[in-house]
Amino acid sequence: MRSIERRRGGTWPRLPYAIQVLTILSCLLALLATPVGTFWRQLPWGHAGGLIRLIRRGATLDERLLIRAGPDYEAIQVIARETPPDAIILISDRYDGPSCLQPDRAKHQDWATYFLYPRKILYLHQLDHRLFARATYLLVDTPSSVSWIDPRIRGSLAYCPDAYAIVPFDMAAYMEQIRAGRISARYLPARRDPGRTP
Amino acid sequence: MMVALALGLLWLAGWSVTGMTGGAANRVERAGLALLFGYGLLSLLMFLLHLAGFPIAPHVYVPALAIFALDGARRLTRRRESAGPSLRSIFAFPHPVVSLAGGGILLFLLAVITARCLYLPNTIYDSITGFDLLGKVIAKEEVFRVSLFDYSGIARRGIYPPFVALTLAWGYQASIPSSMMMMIAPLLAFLLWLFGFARRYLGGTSALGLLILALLSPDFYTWCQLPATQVPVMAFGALFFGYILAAGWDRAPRALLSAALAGLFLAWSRPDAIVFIAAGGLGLLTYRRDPNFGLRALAIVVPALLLFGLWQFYAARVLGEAGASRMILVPFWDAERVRITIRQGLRFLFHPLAMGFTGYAFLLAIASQLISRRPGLGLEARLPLATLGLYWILFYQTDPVGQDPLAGLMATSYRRGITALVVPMWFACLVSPVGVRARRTLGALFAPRARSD
Repeated sequence: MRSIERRRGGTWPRLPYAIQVLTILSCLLALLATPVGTFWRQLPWGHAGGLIRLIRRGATLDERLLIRAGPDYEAIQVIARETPPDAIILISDRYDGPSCLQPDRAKHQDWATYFLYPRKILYLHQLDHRLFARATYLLVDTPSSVSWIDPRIRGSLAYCPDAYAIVPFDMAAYMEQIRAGRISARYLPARRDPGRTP
Repeated sequence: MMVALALGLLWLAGWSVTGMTGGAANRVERAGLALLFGYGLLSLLMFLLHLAGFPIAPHVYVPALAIFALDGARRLTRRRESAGPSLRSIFAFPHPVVSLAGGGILLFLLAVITARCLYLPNTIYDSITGFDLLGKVIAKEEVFRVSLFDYSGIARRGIYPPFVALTLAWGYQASIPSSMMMMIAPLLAFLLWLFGFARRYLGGTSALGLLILALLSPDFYTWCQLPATQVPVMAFGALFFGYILAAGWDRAPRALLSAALAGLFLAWSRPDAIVFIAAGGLGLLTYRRDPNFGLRALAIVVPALLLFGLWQFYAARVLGEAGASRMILVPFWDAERVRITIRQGLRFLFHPLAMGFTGYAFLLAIASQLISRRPGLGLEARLPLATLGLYWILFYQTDPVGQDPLAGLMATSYRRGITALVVPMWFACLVSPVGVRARRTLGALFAPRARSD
């Protein structure tokens, strides 16, 4: 079998043994001169201890998700508990001002859908979508989540301004009232500003 | 039980494909390759059958896969095909210190990675809002254009070729509890392949060293456990380059068939993987020892490009918004863009928390080749270098309007892109003159000593 130098076509000039050893030692020194502490923790043994403790505790899947995803997953659990699997949930856009859901990944459409599927999640500005008029729940977490609703109906919703809530909302009946002229058509959420970052 | 059945079927189907393409020199290498090709074959079958009008459901694609698996089982029992070096000789190490220390470190790393993958559920943003979500919904709705495309932002990630999404869909349909399982299995198969492949050219000790060096690179370790696109790009990229090198070094053109198939699956994993394919093609075109390699380069690049084109067409026509391209052409010299791209590129290549020491070692390997007795860069160094260069050009041409600024885009995408180069770069280091010298020096330390009595 041909040697690897022959295969790639070149050889390293022969160096005295002392220089070889010095080269290897200087490489090791260069290795140690880097931010060792941070680098060390990045390596697998930095993770091993915490992982073993977690496995020993025998955490359930929900507990492990809570550890990984934090408060976001807590909110997901609340939504999942309070809605049936065929629910269509309306959420306000993440860019609609400060939310009491912090961090607010739980109200990111795709992030939440991953955990809540087959429930469907729509942003309030998607009011042209065919599912919008069939929405059954509303996630209230910012003033803009409810400010678009007719004040007479808004007053009957059970939510607290300082905490997020998932409230039943019959969008089909609401739209019917708009069509019948009992509620003004201006009491609908705004369509998305095309210039805004998605 | 279900996991063993599902993975066994994939492995047997892959064994059949590796028998058809050839290229694997020993059983360890082929065993790893079989599972990787099995995954690729599965996702291709799912997609092509769906294109022919069938739903993405187990009763459609499992019979198709079973035909390959039967052929794989037939090949497995044929003595001629399963011949080769014995397993004992493949896993033989020259010194007990190497077996104990090297094997121990490797097993520890693998144990931590596997436990972490299987125990901690996936919460990675890109995967949760992209491939994993798509896989989950495809598994339920049994079509590729799932209801999510009508109203969610998933369409933006729909431009990704569907290898990961379909693989995860198969996992969900086979009731495999964690999507991590579907991604840790190819990683372990890849490491098995890498050991078998490196064993051919570097010997057992250095092959073990290559595995440890790759696993200790922080980005490799961090990304290798995601049910995201890193693992397939890393694995198929290394397979692609590996078999191009094998074809050149061993003068075994049949290995190019395996390279072509790896290229096909590479184009099926992530859009920017096209850079690897272009670099492989360029590498073959500049291979001076065999003039026929130009034609062969075309032969391995064209199927991958065709598949990539088919996917782009499907994404644009069927998935709608997904086909929107974000590439722009910046043919002029934009000093600010050049400055940002070069600074970011060098930052990650030489950052101890990104590539670890891979960048420095690669630089040393290139320098050693240039000052060796017969100066010139070998193909094994030119392939990763060409990929790095093409990545730079790709990001220079990418329009970040509506996304992060260019620096932010590079901070995420470029870093992930070059992570896939960890293995080819370390391989190039170990076969470079300085690598050969270092291996000989260390080899002398661990050489079996003659008995003095």
